[in-house]
Amino acid sequence: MKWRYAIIMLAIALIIVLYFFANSFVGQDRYAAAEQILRLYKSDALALNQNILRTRFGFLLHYDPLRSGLRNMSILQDKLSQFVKDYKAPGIGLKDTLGEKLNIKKRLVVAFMRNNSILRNSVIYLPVAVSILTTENVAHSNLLNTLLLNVLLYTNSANEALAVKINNLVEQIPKAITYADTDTKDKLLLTNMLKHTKTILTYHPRLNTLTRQVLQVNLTDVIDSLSSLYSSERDKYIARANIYRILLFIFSLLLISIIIYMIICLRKSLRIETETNTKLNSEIDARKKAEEEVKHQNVTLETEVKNRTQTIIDTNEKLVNEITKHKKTSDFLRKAQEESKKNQHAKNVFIANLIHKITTSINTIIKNCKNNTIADDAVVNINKILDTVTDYANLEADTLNLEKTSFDFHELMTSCANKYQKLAQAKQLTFKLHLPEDCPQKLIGDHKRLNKVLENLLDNAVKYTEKGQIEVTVTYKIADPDQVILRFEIKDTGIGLNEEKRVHLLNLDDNDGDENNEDVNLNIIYCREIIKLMGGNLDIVIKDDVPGTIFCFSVGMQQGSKT
Amino acid sequence: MKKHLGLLLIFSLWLILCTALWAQQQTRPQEPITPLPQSIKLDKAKVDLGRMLFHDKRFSKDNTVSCASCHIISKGGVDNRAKSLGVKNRIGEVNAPTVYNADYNIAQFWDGRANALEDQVDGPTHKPIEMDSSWPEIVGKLKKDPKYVRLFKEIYNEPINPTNIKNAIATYERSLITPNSRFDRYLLGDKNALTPDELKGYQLFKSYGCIACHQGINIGGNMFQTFGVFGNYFEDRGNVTQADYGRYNVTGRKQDRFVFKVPSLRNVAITAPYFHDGSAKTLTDAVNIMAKYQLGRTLPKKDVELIVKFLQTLTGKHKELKP
Ligand code: HEC
Ligand code: HEC
Repeated sequence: MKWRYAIIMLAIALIIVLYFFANSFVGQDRYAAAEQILRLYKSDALALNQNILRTRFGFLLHYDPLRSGLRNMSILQDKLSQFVKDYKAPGIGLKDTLGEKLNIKKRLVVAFMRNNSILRNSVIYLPVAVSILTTENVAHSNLLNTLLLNVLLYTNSANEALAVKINNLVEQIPKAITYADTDTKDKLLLTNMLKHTKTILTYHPRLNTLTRQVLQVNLTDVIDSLSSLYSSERDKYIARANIYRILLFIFSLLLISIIIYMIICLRKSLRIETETNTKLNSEIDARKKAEEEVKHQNVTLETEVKNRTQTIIDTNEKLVNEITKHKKTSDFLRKAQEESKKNQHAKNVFIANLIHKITTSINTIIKNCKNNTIADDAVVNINKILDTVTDYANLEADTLNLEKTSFDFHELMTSCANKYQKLAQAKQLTFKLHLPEDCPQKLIGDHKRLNKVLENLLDNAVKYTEKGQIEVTVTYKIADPDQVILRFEIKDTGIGLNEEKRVHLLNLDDNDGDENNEDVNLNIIYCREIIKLMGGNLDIVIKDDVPGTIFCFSVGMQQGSKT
Repeated sequence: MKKHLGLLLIFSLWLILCTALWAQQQTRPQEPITPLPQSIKLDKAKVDLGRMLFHDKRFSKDNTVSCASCHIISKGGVDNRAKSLGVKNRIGEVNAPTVYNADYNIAQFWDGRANALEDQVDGPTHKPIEMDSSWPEIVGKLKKDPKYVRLFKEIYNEPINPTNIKNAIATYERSLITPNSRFDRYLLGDKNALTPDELKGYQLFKSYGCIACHQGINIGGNMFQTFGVFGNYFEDRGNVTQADYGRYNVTGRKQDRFVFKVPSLRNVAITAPYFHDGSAKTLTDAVNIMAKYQLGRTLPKKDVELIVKFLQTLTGKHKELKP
């Protein structure tokens, strides 16, 4: 029973532990992933801004960093959208703003690259063209160099006054500088140079605006607010997971202690079983030894019948003692293993075994003692003791069932009285029986055990009374039509008891060790238990002024048919 | 404590100095063009599946045209026609660009209307003059082929669907890189990889300013640029079509008129004819047009030849490419 509960508890604890375990990881990783995305996004956004500036001032030789930056950011934006969609995460508005801003930024960066390449080429080309034109025709150098200087100044400033000046020069130069019709090469060079100057005039301010616009589209502030949103969301999940972790910890401890408890229980029951077994074996050995002794005595049977019979009785008494002793041990074990059915069973088996052994050995003796009158008495005695032991064993195992047979109460009482009359006479005691005439005669109940209780108590009385009398008084009461309550009083004039001894006797326990009075104790316990089963109570009354003891008890019996 | 901090500071400064010196020694002179990687990590099963799909004619309505019909992998990823022929020999609007190294482009198509290679696949499959098909039709056809059903199950653990198909094709296209061109070898430190003429061509390419638009790992492909910065190319050519408006067709903004993605110049020697309209038959023509309309300059014949020589060193290697 206990095992079943333990296993059910174990299973429940395990399920709870697993549930907490599963819950202690939920949620936080996904926000960690989102934060990772945002971290990369932010660093890409910052790098993009830096690369724009580096490109603008000619530190970057190619646009690949810008291209891959844009692509990475698009991928991250897609991942972010996927994340928000998959987990129904908050911040959809922010994510959309970010996406819109990214698209604007992309458009601006693409425009920036386009304009930057063209401006770069023109700015590089202009000095080359001017130097070719001026080396070929020194006359034009003044005007052209002024133009070049102004353009170079212009490209390094945002001075719109310079632009006006350059525009004037561009208008002036074709008029001032003329080539012969044949000189197509120089003519073309001049027109190209002027084209490039105009290109610079349009692209330079445009590029400045674009650079500013690109830098102004601020992705990082949106990313920051998104990541603070997600980190607080993540914290929430971590707090939740932490609660589960604590619970997980507590329940793990519980689980472990249940397991340890189960292991301890298992080991204990194993140890007890082996102990019982060794006891049983030594018991069997003792039995064998006794048997051998009996055999040995058989050899000198003719001459030592009396002694031998005595020996048998002694041996058997010893056996009874040993049984009692063993019972005590097993009772002790039972205490340790109170509810262990298994153990109870082991004990029962043990006692049953024991009785079986005794019975067989007795039977051997009976066979050997045929035609021997002295041994007959001993055999009867032993049988009686054995009956008691059987009953006792059954009492212990709670398996004793009272018989229900109809019997003649008066006859029972008189035969009992007859027996003890003789015994009393032998000790020079008087024996009296008071049985009311109208006491119901036909009763139904366990007369054998009632008889045994009476005999036990009377045996005691006879044993401990040296002179005087033994008196048995029966009273009765009819409780309801079927039920008779019989009250017995067995009064002796023996050595008597003091209060301490009385209480001791009444509360005798199976394992109270009183080596000298072992059989008395056993008898009293037996009587007490049987009386209890019959619905009564054993009591001992002591009167200070009168010597001796009064054992009184009442039992309930069913009335037999009146016929 | 303070003393330790000082020591730590000195030590870290020393460390930084050392790494800086070491880095100085390591870096080669910076170039505006970077070499392609030798290989990139991709799922081989997907690449193989993508290759099969790329060559599969079931992608077109009448099962006559595969991706490879217009992008002949062994011939530089192009069909060498001014304008491609689609289903029923319908003539396309623009010149087919190469699929080699396409992943390094800022966007796909001349007008950049597709962002990633995956998105690009929708284009040709649905265009009436190219493949004239649709996803339900293609998926339906492919599902009848047990080999595809098995492969898709194995690789994607999903039934055949447009997303998987696009991913497989795009993965295959990502595998189409052409490293080890002579010029890349030069960039990687092999000084003998280029002849003096070719090297001179590279210098001119840089000094004339071609490098302003054609640069980076793909020698182009990383930006959009107006075709005809100095002079109106389309007016001079005549016969302006819708496709000539370029990026304007995508964005609808005035400033995007006649703007195209700057094409990659890798393998340019084997991808004639040139430009989105396929109007330049030879590299010399293309370089001259570039000089006039993009640079606003006239180049001496000799320099053009040198630049063309340089452009011819850009042809790389791939195991499926047999020029
Ligand atoms: C009918 C001929 C044709 C077919 C078939 C075809 N393409 Fe294309 N492809 C073109 C043309 C033409 C372009 C340029 C279109 C444009 O820019 O508007 C192009 C552009 C591309 C590009 C963009 C390259 C760049 O650098 O921008 C890729 C990638 C591509 N195709 C892959 C494919 C794939 C994959 C398939 C098969 C699903 C395919 N093509 C089928 C003709 C074709
Ligand atoms: C202002 C930017 C710009 C500059 C500078 C520039 N290009 Fe181009 N290049 C382009 C654009 C844009 C295209 C695509 C035009 C089109 O087809 O619509 C292109 C196309 C080309 C092509 C054709 C590629 C193909 O596969 O179709 C070649 C070759 C080329 N350029 C070489 C050069 C050379 C050589 C120079 C220097 C002399 C140069 N480019 C300078 C922007 C530029």
